Parts: sequence; C-alpha cells; structure tokens
Amino acid sequence: MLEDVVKIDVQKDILDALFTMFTAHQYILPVFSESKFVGILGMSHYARVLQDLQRKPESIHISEIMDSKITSVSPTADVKQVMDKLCERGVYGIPVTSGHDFLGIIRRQDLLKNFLHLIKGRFKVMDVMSYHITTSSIHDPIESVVKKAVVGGARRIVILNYDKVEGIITFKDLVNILLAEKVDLSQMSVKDILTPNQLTISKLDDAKKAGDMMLEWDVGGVPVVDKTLEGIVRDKDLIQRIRLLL
Amino acid sequence: MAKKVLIVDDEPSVAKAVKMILDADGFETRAVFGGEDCLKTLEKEKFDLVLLDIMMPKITGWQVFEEIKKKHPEQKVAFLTVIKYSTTVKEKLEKEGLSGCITKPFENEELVNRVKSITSK
Repeated sequence: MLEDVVKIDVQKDILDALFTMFTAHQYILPVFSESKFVGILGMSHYARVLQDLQRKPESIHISEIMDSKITSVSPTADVKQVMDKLCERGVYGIPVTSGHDFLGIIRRQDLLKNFLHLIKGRFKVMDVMSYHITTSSIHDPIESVVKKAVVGGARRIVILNYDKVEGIITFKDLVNILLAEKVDLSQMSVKDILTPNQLTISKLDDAKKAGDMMLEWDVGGVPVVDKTLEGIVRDKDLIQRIRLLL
Repeated sequence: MAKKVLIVDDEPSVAKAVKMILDADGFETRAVFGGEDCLKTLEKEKFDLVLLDIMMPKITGWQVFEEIKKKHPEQKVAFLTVIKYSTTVKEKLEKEGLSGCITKPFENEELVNRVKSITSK
C-alpha cells in the first residue's frame, strides 16, 4: 500500500490536480474537504473534461469530475477481495480506510510488486494476454484517438507506424491536451502527446516478464508482438492470474 | 566563460540537434537521454541551465523537475515541449520554479535566444 500519499483539496481546479498528478507521479488522488476524505480523482475522470474542451481546465473544480461514491477497503481486507475490486471496477487504485480515516491507496503496481513472483514459470504471455486491442496510426488526427478513449472507452490505444509499435496512449497522455494554449484537436497530431516507447513482448515469453517490464517502465500494459501486433498484456490480466493462485 | 547547458531528451536525434545548435553559438553542452542520467549528471557537475524534455518514458520531465527542485533548488530548468502551453500553465510553472518553456520544433535562432535570455537572468 502507498502510505505517503499526496492529497488534494476539493476546492482546487483541474489544472492544480494535473500539476499534482504529474509532479508527484501519482495518477490517483484522494480528495479532501478540510480533513474529510470526500472523493477520488483518477485519470479516467478527465474523460468528462476532454469531452468539452471549450471549458478551460482552471475553471473546472475537482468536485465536478471526481468520484464521490468511494469504494474503499479496510487495512485487514483479504488481498483477493482487493484484487477483485480493482479488476471489476477497472480502477488503478483503491483507497484504504479505517472508519472515516484515510490510510493510503493500494494500487495495481503495489499488488504486482508483491505477488508477481507467484506466476513465474506458470504462464506464458499467450495464456494471459488480451486479444482485443484498440489501435491508431501515428499519422491519425488526435481527434480520433480522443474519441476512441472518451466515447469508445478504450483505456489503452496502441499507436502504430504501419506495423511497428510506437507506443501506447492512455489518459495520462491525453490530459496533456488540457495544458495547451489553443485546444484545437484538428491542429494536433498523435505525435504531440505520445511518449515514444517501443516496448513489446512475445506471446511465448513468461508472463512474469511482462509484469517486470510494467514495473520497470511504469506502464500498465505491454503490446504483444510476434512479427505483427497480436494483442496486449495488461496489469489487470496478470492480477487476475495471481488471484487464482492465492 | 561559456554558459553550460545540460540537454535531456529521450530521443537522441533531438538531443544531438539541440546540442549542435547551442555548441555552434559558444555554449558548453552535454546531452543525456533520460531522467536518471540527468539526475546523476547533476550530482557531479553544475550547469547554468537544464533543458528538459517533458515526455520521456520511465521518469517524466515533470518528475525530474521535482527532483531537481528538491536536490538543487538553485538550478535553472526549462521545459522542452511539443504542446504550446497556455499562459496560465506557464505562469503556474514559473511559480513552481521553472525558468521557461521552449516549444518544439523551434528555429535555431529562437532556441539560442531563449537559452541566452534564461541563462543571463
């Protein structure tokens, strides 16, 4: 569990939240009103802001987009229960609370760090990977990528340059649009927000290797490539397998 | 004495291009290709300016900036960004201690002038 958590005040705006997330490198923020824990702000909550780019991020309060229906776990919760909640809700982290007290956040990477060794030698990437992938070309207008994420609900969009993987775009990348002087999506390209990362894995590799790569490179998914793109292995896929072994 | 600039960009071609432009104008430069190398270099050497790419894998420019602020609070840092930041964002960054933002791509002269302006302050 991450105990040294950076928190944010509910009165702050979206720009404050983005600065906090980027500088603290913490992509899920507990939101507080005075000393009361009132909500959670994760990257996917920015979908609403990305849908209406006419509004400036500094004019939007955190309370407008945060999730105030908090699902939390107790410090004594069974780790299997935590894994189920993380995977079912499709979130990156869950707050740990004791009564009304906020104690910390348990994130997918915390679970991987602690339990990844359990799957060593037990699964190949092909046993755990997802064959459903959303892709875009590096030459595509950014508008189509935003649409795939915001309207289509794609969490990860693999960016291709013909057959070659150039990187993955997630909400972490998309929110960079909100920092721009003029948010004109027709004038922006995928290259403007993509952090090039040609990290890939083979479907014949040990699944643990995928988890090691995720932890080392701080990513939640690795494209599976054997000559061409075949799928993606996500932290969620690994956690679900680990769950079965506990 | 020549002003010293540390260039940090995960794309070696960009880092080398920036280095060439600044070297040609009399700056003393070093190029590194990631946040970890930047922080290691700053432990050993002093620079008048760190030109820092924002979008890097593993450790982003934002994180590197935070680390620099903690360990070398006097160090001048400018962001190299592809997106042209809004005035509000730039003001906020300056408040956080950033010395400037340089938007890529840039003309050689523009880059040199911005670096001269920041290092002479």
